Amino acid sequence: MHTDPELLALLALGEPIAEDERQHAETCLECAAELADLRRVVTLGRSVEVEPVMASPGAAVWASIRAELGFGAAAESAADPASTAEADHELTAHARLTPVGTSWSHASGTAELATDDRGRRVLQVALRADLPTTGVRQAWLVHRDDPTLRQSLGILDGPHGLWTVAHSIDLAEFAILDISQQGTGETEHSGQTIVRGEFTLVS
Amino acid sequence: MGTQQGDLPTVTAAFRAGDAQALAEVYGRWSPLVYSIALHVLGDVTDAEDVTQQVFTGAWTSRQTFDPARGRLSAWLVQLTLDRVADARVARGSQTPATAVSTTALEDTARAADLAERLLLADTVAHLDAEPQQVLRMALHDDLTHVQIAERTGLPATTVAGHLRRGLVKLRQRLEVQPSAH
Repeated sequence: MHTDPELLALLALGEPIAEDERQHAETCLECAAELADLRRVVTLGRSVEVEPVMASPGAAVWASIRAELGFGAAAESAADPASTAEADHELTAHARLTPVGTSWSHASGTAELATDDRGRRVLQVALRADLPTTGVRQAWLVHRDDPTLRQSLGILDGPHGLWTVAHSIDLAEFAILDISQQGTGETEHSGQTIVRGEFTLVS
Repeated sequence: MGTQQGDLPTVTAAFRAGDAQALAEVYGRWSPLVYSIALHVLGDVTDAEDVTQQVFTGAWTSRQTFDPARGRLSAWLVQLTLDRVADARVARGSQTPATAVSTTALEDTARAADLAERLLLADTVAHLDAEPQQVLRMALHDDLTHVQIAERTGLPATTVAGHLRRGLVKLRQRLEVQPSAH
């Protein structure tokens, strides 16, 4: 009988497994080949000490591609398809959040603005970062032309944030979503931005 | 972030058939990877955006040459990206003396391919669901055993082992590690 696939994975990761299982895995041609493949993946995965930071092209790139290929309104949504799966919620804008400074270079996040069935604008934020145990993370909408103009959205609960956004805030102007590390009780933006990103409106 | 729609066979088939919406989905799923490779190699936002545009318009016009039997759409897009990045470097370095170009060009090509592989790996991990993603990171980067991960996360050890197995298989598929001959 072949070695259990999950044991092969654990063996590839360097975990000890039962001696008879290990012997089979290394002598059976089929299992040994699979083990070698998985080991290569593990080696590669571990060789990446610092995961390279992913970034997204500006919204103008997709517009240029559409224009160059002569697409009309048919292919309007280049939004992350994951975001459109939300039932009853119509996605209206999204943003990919990327780190600003070097101290949070591993952080990333997403923000999705949708309209719920009562017409409210619901903003959902997911932050991926090694969060410090001190202070809080606060989300802000920042004016695209004047970064001193900011609206506070609120405090994230762990890596998640969920707020409604008043219709009086024009997201074409307050188009930048910013998440900052804040001291507890601090009311002004600390200047320590973890991630930020610009909203792309889904037309 | 758990979906992989830009890589689904139905989307890939629609893309090959000339469905503009499929290109939009492919772009939505893969443009961050294409752009990130170009940005890391070229180090310039404008150049990276130009490459991204060239890759996706090029992918569209040459979509018939993509053969799903020979590899994944992601691997094909990565190769197109590396080609366009190499072009951009040649265009940029045209003033460099010809004698110096050959060795550095080879080294640059190897470095770009290596970077692309690391970014593809990071992209694949980032698109796993939150729980398997966390478990896999703990096993790869924190060198924890599945039992230690189970203790720290509160998940059953069998669940952790299953996540690790599926995560590694997913990475292998995406990195297109060819099964060894046997």
